[in-house]
Amino acid sequence: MTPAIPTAPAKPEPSAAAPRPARRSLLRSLGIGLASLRLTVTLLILSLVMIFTATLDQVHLGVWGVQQKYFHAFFVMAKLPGTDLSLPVFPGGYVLGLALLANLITAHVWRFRLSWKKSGIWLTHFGLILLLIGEGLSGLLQRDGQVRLDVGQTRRYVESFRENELAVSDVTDAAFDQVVAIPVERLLGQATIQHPKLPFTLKPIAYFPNATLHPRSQMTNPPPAVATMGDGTDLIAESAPITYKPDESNWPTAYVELTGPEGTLGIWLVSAILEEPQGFIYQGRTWQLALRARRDYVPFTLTLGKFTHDIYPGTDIPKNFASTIQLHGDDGRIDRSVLISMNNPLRTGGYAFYQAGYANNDRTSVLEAVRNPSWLIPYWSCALIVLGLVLQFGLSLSGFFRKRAAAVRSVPSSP
Amino acid sequence: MLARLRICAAAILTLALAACSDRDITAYRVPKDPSVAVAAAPVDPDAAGAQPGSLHWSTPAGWQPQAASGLRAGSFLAPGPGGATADVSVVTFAGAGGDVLANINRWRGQLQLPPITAAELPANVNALEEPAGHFLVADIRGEPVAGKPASRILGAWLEEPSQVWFFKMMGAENVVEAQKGTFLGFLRSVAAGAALDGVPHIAETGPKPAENTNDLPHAAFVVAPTEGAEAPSLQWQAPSDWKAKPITMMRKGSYAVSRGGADADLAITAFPGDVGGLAANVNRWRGQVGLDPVDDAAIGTVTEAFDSNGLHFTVVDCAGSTPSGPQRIMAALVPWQGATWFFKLTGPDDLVKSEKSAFSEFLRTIRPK
Repeated sequence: MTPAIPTAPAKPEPSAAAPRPARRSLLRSLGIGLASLRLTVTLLILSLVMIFTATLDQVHLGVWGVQQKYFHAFFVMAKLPGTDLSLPVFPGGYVLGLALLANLITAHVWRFRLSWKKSGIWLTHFGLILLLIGEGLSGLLQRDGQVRLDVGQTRRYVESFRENELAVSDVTDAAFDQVVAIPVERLLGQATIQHPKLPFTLKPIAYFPNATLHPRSQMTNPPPAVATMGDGTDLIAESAPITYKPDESNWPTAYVELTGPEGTLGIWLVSAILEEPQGFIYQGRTWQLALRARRDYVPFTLTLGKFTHDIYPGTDIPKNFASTIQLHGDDGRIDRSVLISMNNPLRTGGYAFYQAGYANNDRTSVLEAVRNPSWLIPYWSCALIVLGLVLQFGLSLSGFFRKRAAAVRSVPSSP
Repeated sequence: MLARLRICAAAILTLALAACSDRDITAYRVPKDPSVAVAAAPVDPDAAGAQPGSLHWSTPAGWQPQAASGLRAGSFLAPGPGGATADVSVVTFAGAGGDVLANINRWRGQLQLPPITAAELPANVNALEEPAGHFLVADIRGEPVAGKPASRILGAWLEEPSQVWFFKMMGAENVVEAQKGTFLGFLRSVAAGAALDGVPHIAETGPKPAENTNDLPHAAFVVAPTEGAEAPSLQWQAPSDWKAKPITMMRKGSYAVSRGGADADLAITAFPGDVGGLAANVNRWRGQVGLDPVDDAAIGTVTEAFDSNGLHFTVVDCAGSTPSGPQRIMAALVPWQGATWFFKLTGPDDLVKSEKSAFSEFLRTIRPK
């Protein structure tokens, strides 16, 4: 969250001592309240409290968990002790951000007047408004993911770090796959899932945000298998606590039942742990089920030609990571070799690809992919704020010099 | 004044609405990913006799083809007396399919039978020469449970250079007995052949998570690997003539060592804790090459230890005879950061023996990342 600078009131705050208008409408009261400097201060204090609490809570939730609970939420929710009931206990980042934005905009529309003398303040505040909007847009529109490439491997999609989907793919066509991607949140309920592209329906039987799988053959007195088809017929899924640790992953897992017009087709166990999709043939077409990281396909391909991991001579201290990527656009207009290294990202197709890491004994390069249509807004806002401050101070300075010159001129010369 | 308020309200409402978003089901068409191996596809119930992969077979009369799972290349119901049926499956894995003892004991576990030792293997496995190659066959009878008839597994596997095929019939004892001749005839019908158009080649799927379970004592799927630059890891430098293989979820590294038409497999895995301790691991490997276990006191006589790059290595070299020929396992255990790393070279005795110095040099290159 970006704190806003308290707006300087152009008019004195209404006080109890001030004469009240005879007929103040409700809207007028609302406008005055929304433009109030007291509201600004209150919101800033609430923001401080929220940031402080969220910082402490990072111990339990980690960075991502805190972002979701406090900053990317309208309200901070907490469970009523002894129950599963969640109640809002504090305004979240979206409420505070929107309220600060509303406060700033209303203060300008309500109280400020356009004038050359105040142009610097206008520009500065406009920059602040833009900054708040940019932060909101980033929270809503930014998508982070990764592309993992072995040397010689080609990818055309970005995989999400945290979001998962159940992909139901018709892979019959030799050249194309028809994919229906179902967000895993849809598996939380028991509602049957239908889609025009699917000749069958899917009914979630159970969903675990994190789970482990146990082979029944290695369990003593194993429970009966839930899955009747696929790789899960000899596996039992066991729910596991959600982890927020940055170096651990959750393994979402679900049981889904497929049903065609002729009746049930079976129950499948789908899990992010199972690396390969599970196939089956239905009505003469080959289908695949896979619970996987959410994929965002891009209209180009990335092929890793070479990965270098340099260290300082005589040490194990990393000096440089770099991936030589062959970028090829689907329309054939782009086909070039690009070097992605630390602080030297590739920007293409709305994405920025950063060299983020490596794995597999230096044979796999990990690129972080960030798509943020509003990534330029903070630069523009900062430029506007700087311009506004320079203008405002410049105007004050010139006013000061003018007054001093006038004062000098007005002093009578000594005899 | 009202106009100003309307402007404010409109701006705030627009922003508030923009903040509301919900992920929805999406459908799209994408070109096939050239880097992704084609996934397994089972047999279409309507396409009886379809045989994916490089093997094909003749479906015996009376067997009902079934819609099968992703791991199954073939699935049938074999009829028996009184309308009972036995389940017949054909499953293939890329790479090695585990050792003979592990396969037998896995099937015994499915029948609630205790595992057998390597010394008992010869009495439990038979070899069968068929047109497709050298099958190993096991006939395992379970115990009757709670008045139900005993279950029985008649299983066979066929190892090819890059994959292993499992053929298994499982059902009530009398049904399997009635279908035994048909099942053996089914094995005889297996022959090399091309995959049908439009049916993905199951052998191209790469090793499944179940692969390498001989190194995963009772915790194969419980381990959540944390692969990535952030996770504590080791690094190494493999000899230039070892060919890197694709990594699976369970393997940190994988190499093929080939010479003179023979192939050995080097697997690098890591699991939390001591994974049963030194003796348990050493004896498991000894059992895999048909050697008797040694007790804790004698474990030092069959292992060597050394320190390198701040790591403590315990090296095992065991050779023995298995139904598929003389085999050797050369392996090292490295406890590090609360986990145990395994570097295990498995293959024909002659080949693994010739790689001994290369393996030793390879171990010296291992260091914390």
